[in-house]
Amino acid sequence: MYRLVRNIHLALGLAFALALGIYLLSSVRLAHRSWFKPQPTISEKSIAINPSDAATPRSLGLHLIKEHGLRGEIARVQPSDDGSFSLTIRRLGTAYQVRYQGGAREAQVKTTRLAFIGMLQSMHFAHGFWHEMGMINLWSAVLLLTSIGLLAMGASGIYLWFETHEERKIGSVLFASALVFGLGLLVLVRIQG
Amino acid sequence: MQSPQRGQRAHDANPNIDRKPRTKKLAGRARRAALRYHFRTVPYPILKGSLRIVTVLGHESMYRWIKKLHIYSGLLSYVGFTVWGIVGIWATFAPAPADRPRREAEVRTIAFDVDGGATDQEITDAMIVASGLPFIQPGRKPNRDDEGRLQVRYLTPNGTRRIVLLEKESQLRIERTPSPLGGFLNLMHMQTFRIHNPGWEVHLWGAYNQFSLWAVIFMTVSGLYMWLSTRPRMAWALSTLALGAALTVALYVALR
Repeated sequence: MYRLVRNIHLALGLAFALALGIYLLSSVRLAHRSWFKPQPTISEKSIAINPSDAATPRSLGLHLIKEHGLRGEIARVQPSDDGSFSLTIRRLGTAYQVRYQGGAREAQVKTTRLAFIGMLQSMHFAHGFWHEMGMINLWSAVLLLTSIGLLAMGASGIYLWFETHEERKIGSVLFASALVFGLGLLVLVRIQG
Repeated sequence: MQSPQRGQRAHDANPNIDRKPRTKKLAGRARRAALRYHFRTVPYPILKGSLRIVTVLGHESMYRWIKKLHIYSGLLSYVGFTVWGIVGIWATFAPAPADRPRREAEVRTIAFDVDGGATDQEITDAMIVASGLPFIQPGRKPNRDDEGRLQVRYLTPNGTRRIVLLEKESQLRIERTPSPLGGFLNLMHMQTFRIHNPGWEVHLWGAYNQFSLWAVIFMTVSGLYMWLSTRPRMAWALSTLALGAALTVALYVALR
């Protein structure tokens, strides 16, 4: 049993090592913003458009995704009174801000590409299976599996510690202290209005 | 060319290494003997070279201490990373932002007289004190809502709070929009001790959250070290690492 649980603990750790690394490194960035100064790369270009493909913001967005290789999902549409509109097509590391004047034959596209640590942060925030872009849903599945893996690693780790007799005494004190401290704080915060 | 199973065979031939210790006394002696045996039989050049260096530095003792610290880090940060795991599962199944149900605020009013000569800052401070709400202290910048009324609006782990001055009625309107348990844990998992004025409980939790972060980083690194120093050639372990890493890298590239 000990050997089996130890192997499960190892397998979970190895399977999710890199995904967990992404969450941990981005957490360091979120907790210590001054340590990192990521600069996104910004570029602009014009894309030739047939006005019939841009009857609505969404149709233009879908046209750009299918025909012009702007990978992502349509995230934000902002129509304007003068017949122009803007929309954002984004995936986790890149956002395309598209501006289009009704009837024009070209659309202006501003591309913002996140730096490495910004990309990790974006991956940290992505969740849910409701995205139009399948790859983001797949990453959400990785989040789900990593979370379950983390809980399972915790549970198997507790078992492995408990079966290591020489660490039981000190471990019991540490574990009990952590439970009282951590759970106590959670309850204390929750019961306040 | 060595067989990929050779490390596994070396491990199987060495029955004591990293195995559940039967008694306290035997455990230490058996592990030391096992480690000595294992490091003598490590068959591949790169690891052999690096192990030669760490053996000089006292590898057995280092392994023992790192394993000890790995266990202690896990025990101490258990509550922290369990909260992260729960939040990850909760967030996965949370509805899209547009579909999230709007929570109605619980509203109550209390009597509040405004001193005619007071500044906006003084009134804002008095509103905070009179509301008796936790996780906020006087000193916040005055703010007005769309109707020009003085208000204090802030987020706590338990949800959004808003205090509005109803000057004509000489009242304070206190709105409390509750947060479900999942939302509460989500907000708690984001806390760090650098957040301004959150109350000592949240401050302490933030420090614990930070500790858990570094503890899990340490456990990831020390876990890899313990694997590499005892069973680096296990085929299934290498495959698991390769598969997990390949999927993660592929998604990184695809979503970049």
